[in-house]
Amino acid sequence: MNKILRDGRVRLLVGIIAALLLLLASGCAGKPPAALSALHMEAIRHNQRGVKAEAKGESPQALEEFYESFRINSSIENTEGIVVALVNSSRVYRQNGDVKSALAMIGKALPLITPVDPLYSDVAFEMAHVQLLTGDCDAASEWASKAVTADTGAKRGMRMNLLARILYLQGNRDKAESRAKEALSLNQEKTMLHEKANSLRLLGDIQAAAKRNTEAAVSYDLALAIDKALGKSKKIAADLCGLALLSLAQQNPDQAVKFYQRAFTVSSNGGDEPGAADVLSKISRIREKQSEKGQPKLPLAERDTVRRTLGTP
Amino acid sequence: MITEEDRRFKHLEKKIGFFVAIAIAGFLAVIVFIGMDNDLFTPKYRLKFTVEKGTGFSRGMPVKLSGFRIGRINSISLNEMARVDIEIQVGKAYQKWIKKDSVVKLVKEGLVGDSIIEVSVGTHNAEVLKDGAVITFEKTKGLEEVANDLADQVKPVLIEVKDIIGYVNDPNGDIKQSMKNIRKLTADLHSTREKVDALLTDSKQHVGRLTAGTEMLLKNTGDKINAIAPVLEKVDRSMTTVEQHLPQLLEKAATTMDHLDKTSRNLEKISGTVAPRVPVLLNSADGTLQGADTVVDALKDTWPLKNHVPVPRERELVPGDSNE
Repeated sequence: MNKILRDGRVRLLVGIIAALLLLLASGCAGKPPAALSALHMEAIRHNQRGVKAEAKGESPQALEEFYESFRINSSIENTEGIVVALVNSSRVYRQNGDVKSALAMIGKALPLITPVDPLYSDVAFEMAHVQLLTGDCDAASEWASKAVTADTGAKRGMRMNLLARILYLQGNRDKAESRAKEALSLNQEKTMLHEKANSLRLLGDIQAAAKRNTEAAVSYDLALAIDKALGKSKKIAADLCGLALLSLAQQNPDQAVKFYQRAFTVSSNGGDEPGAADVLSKISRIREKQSEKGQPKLPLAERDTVRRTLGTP
Repeated sequence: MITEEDRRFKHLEKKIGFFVAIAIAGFLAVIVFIGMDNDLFTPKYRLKFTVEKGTGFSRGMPVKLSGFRIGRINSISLNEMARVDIEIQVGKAYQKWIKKDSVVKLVKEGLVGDSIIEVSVGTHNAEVLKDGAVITFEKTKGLEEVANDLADQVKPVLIEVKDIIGYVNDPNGDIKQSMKNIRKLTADLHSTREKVDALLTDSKQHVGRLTAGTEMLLKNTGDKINAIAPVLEKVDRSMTTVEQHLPQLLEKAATTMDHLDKTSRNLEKISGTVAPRVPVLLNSADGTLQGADTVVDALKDTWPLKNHVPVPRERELVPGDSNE
């Protein structure tokens, strides 16, 4: 026996078998995940399909899936699933401009949870967005503050960004800047890069409004770099528009037009037609002002493009 | 000396006596005449009646029978019942006509004449009323009552008339509107007439042109018919060709239809065989899929795959952004 064991190849084989047995034992020792009922799983699948449909821009399909998820979760009294379905529905309605329906959905979710619930921050954040769209900045600010307070995780920077933006819209520039900077420091994780860009863009807006043009330009450039890296067309166009406004503030309309033209190219190729039309109208206004001051008029082809896009005769 | 033997004084006493006698005779004649006029010398008898009101009656008021005055009202007095008792005096000569069924009435002689008491003649067989008897008073309507009655009867008529006038005068009513329409129609008729006149004038000119046009059209049609003739010949030739080939074509079509019929019969036969098996196959496929699902689920729960299968996330939210 010892002779056999002394053989190197046999020892290697025994070692491999022992290692495999150990590996097998370690795999079986893990705690199995809690089993979910078939209905619960189905509700989750509907919700996941809704999220995927919305990502593909199929909002009606997404809303159907969320409704189905809501219905199934309601049938098994799964409050968490119900709240998720309602928040998702509200978000889809809001992103499609149906503020009334969005408010109705998020209004249904609120009574179902308490401020200590892990989902409370998401609900308050959504409510702040909806209130901002209704024009009630005070209520929006209140809900954004609640969202910030309730969130201690990675999304706290995102909540803070929204609060800073609302404060800026309310005209409270100093508080907005301090919150935006706080948000910038919170949004340093890789997963929150898009929010970091949002913080920088907002800072750029605030600094431009305070005529701190150099700081603003730096902020916009940094935001632009991040948004380009992330490939977010709308955000890139927003950064370029910020830079264009900054150029206008610096009495450099030609530079502003160049930024706007870049923004137009990005928006039109990114499928954001309303954004592209908006940019074109801005270019048109600058050209008109220039022509009043004796500068060459808007080239005919460019003007026609503007008119076609805006649908004016 | 002057003597009393003047001739003018002879028989003076006689003359004075004569004149006095004439005066006394005249005076007596006047008295008699007045007495006769007031029936002082006529034998009379009294009759009585009672009325509600004494209005219109007066002492001395004439009592007439068939238009002749036969007496007067002798007295008017208020009795215990607050009614008015009236006593009349009537000449005895007329008593034969005033009987138990006679009645007295207070009437006016004409529309504006004096009021009188009129007694009606009794029937032939009735008993004659004696002195102090009560005669029946028949109330007649006064002018005011007659007027009121008349007013009551006329009032609804007047209201009707007022309504009719109001209806006729209503600017939005049917009659006014009809009148307005008639006026408009009349005005329109004038313009219509003018248009009709103009139309007739135009028509005369057009008929001339139309006639000329029709003639030209007929000529053109004749030309076209002449031109169509060769085409029709071609069509005729084509039809002959079609007639020659049609039987063959029909035969081919019939053969094709036969083939189609056979094919459809075969299909029917096949579907008849296959159709009952389709639900079974579907059920089987469903079962197979469920089995596969079960196997996949089982595999998911098996080490080492279970460590790589993502745990379903309840809290999957649509991605949000602070600057949407």
